[in-house]
Amino acid sequence: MTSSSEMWKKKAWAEVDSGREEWVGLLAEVIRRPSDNPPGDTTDLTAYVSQVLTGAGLKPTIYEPKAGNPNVVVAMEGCGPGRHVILNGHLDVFPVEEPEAWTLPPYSGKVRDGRIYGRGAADMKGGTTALLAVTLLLKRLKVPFAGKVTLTLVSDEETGGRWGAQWLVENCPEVLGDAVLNAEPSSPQALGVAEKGICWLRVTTHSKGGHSGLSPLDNAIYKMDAAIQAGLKLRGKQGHAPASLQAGLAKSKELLEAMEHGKGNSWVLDSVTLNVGTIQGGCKANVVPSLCTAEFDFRVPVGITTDELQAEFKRLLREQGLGEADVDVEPILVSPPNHTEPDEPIIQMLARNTEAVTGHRPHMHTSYGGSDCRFWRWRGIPAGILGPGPHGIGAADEYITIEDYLTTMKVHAATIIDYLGVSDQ
Amino acid sequence: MTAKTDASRGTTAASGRLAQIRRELLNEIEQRRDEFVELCAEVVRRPTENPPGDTRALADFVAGWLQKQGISSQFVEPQPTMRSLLSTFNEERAPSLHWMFNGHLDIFPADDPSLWKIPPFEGRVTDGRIHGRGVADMKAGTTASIIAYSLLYRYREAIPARVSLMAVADEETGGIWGTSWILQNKPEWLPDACMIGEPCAPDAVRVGEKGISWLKVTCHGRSYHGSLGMGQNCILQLAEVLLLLRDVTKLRATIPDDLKSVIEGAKSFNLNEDTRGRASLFEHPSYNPGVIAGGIKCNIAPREAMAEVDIRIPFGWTPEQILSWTRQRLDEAGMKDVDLELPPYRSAPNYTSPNHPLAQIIARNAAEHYGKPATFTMTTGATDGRYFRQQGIPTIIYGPRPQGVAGLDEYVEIADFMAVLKGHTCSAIDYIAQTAKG
Repeated sequence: MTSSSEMWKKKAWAEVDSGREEWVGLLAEVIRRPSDNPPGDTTDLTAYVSQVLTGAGLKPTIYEPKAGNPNVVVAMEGCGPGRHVILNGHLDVFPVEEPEAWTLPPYSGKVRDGRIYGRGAADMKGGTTALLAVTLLLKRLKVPFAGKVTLTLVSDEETGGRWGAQWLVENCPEVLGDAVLNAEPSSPQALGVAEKGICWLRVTTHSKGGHSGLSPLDNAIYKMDAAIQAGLKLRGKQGHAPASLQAGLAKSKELLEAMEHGKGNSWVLDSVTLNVGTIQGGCKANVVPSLCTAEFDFRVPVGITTDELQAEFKRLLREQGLGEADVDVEPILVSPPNHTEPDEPIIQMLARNTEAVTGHRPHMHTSYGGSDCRFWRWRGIPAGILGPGPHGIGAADEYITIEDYLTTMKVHAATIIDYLGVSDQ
Repeated sequence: MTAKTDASRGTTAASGRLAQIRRELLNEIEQRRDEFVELCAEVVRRPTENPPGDTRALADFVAGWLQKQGISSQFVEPQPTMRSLLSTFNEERAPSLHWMFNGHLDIFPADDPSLWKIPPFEGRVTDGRIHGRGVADMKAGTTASIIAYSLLYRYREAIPARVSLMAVADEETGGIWGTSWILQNKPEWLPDACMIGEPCAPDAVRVGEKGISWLKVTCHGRSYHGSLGMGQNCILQLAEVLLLLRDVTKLRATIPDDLKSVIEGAKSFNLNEDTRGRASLFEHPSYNPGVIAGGIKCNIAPREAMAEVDIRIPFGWTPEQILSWTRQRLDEAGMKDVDLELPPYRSAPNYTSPNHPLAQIIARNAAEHYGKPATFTMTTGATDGRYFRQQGIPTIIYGPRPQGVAGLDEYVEIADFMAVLKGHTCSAIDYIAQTAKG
């Protein structure tokens, strides 16, 4: 850590504070462009972001492997050879299920009482825009960092990343880099280093069908009932995380317990959970349904593999009396649990800079949600998350505090400067 | 219970002029057999799948055929495209008895026609069978009623009763725009006795049916990110509710005395493969969760999940009682927040006593025209007969044995069709002879 690093960090922080209106305005503009996924069309938002980048003198490249899901990649070369840091955020957001439940319109980007509201404000337009803003800020201040910064803004995270980060990592070697910074919602007290895996399974049950008055037992909905009971037996199964994560995990649990939605639920961090997100079966009350389909969202803790989970689920289905002809299980998305060791330099720098900005050293956080970091971690590339504290994700009146948003900017700007280093000239 | 009938003697209540008409008509039916079978095939050739339930082409065809016999008819179409046909004679003479033939024109959807061995709407007649979607449920029965009605019309001067034909749209989706609508809005069509050619069997007479209660169950949740999948999920709750409601099949029927022997008979009487081994259905409710839906996305906890269950109710229970039983079970299980709704499509179990003259006469005719003693039976399904019985009108079902109704390759034996045609014609004559005060 050189004195010039410290100087540039202070300059960057001053720019964050003095440009507060501009950065908040930028986030509001991003929130005002809906990108609900599904359907996940981010064309409008991507065009806006590209325009902002181009206006700053940067040259974004658009990769659109799937129509309507463009990804933006923009590289800034530094003053000489060095490390390559990737900034990653997603542009798509959860769909608004119930607009009437919002007290503020979901795409308003409205600022009130130090908060900014709107669908995706927390997950993760706040974090994504912070990374975009940091990029603009580094460019504007002409920070003389070494190496390279690549900003990747992706359009498919909420439905699994197939056309977003995963596609970029598999198809564009320039996004691999040496380390990844992500600003998914965490909180400035929590530095994300580990996350649960995902196992989305489409379960389909079959029966012969027929008329309701006659055939009360061979019924696809009954069989789905049995499949759900099998799934519930996996809920609560505990994983065993490595020792290096245990202290942070304990803190993550403590924090979750302190939250309104987390009270009594901290077990989810190191255990299997199940959400049955959709169910659909039959066509008419008086016809025995021949088909029922449900989507099971299992989250798998570090310490249990997704293969183990699927094998166990299938065993439990058999135990419930469902044979091969009764039930099909088809993976929709399988994403193993993953983590970055806390002693990696990028993680240590994130932690130190968070402490420098907020006065608190964050703990090494295990998250129950998945993030795009996994695509890099699976390749052995360290990735850390630091983002604003979320409020109302997936529900009404989602918001973040402006303070968290600006803190996120500051921490990432400083970490980039530390990780890449700056020349003394 | 076997009807006390001597088939060989062809016992009939008709005497004098009516007995003579009866003999003439039985002769005529045999002579015009091919023509009548062809008429049934023509009816099959006019698809009336419900949904959507457009019966206009068929109602027009039937009206045209009646017109050729010199019979006028009228249409009602309370719901566009769902056209029902009404015709009556001897109304002005206001006799003491009003006889009704009721049948429906709409049919179950054919599913994928390419899966059928014989195209579902070709109306092919081969190997002693009439083939096609809807021929069993219930175009053969309705055609038999139409023919019987037209034959009786020719002898209207000698018949001391008003006779009506009600060929309706919309039975398959609940009868709201068919029989039910007509009886509620046009009370002048309420008869004193009703016969329906719904599928049954030529040697069986259906006197009653279970009730229906379609229950809509809705569970509410809070949407949150699926990664917090720790339990409060309304699809999981709905799954629990559906498991719990399965106990409805343990409720016991209270069977009226005059139905006890019928239920015993129905238990051993098999319509076809589908109904074998289902005897307990007459003593308990049946339960079918038919539709389930909820959630918008795999990784969001659903805000709402809904199921529609079809409960068929045995004697001793009403839909309202089933609803309160369900409410109580859910309350006991701590699920007061689950919404229950009883859609208008419901009915209590209903029957006409097998001791009623209408039942006795139809059973005697079944035996006479099919050559086998007839059995009184019940159905686990529902027919438009319930709308008449709800008004206190004796109503009996007599129709052909259904083959392939739920699936593909539906057909009816011509022998069944002929027995049903004769049964409808002669039962009307016999009942009028025995009941009308002249």
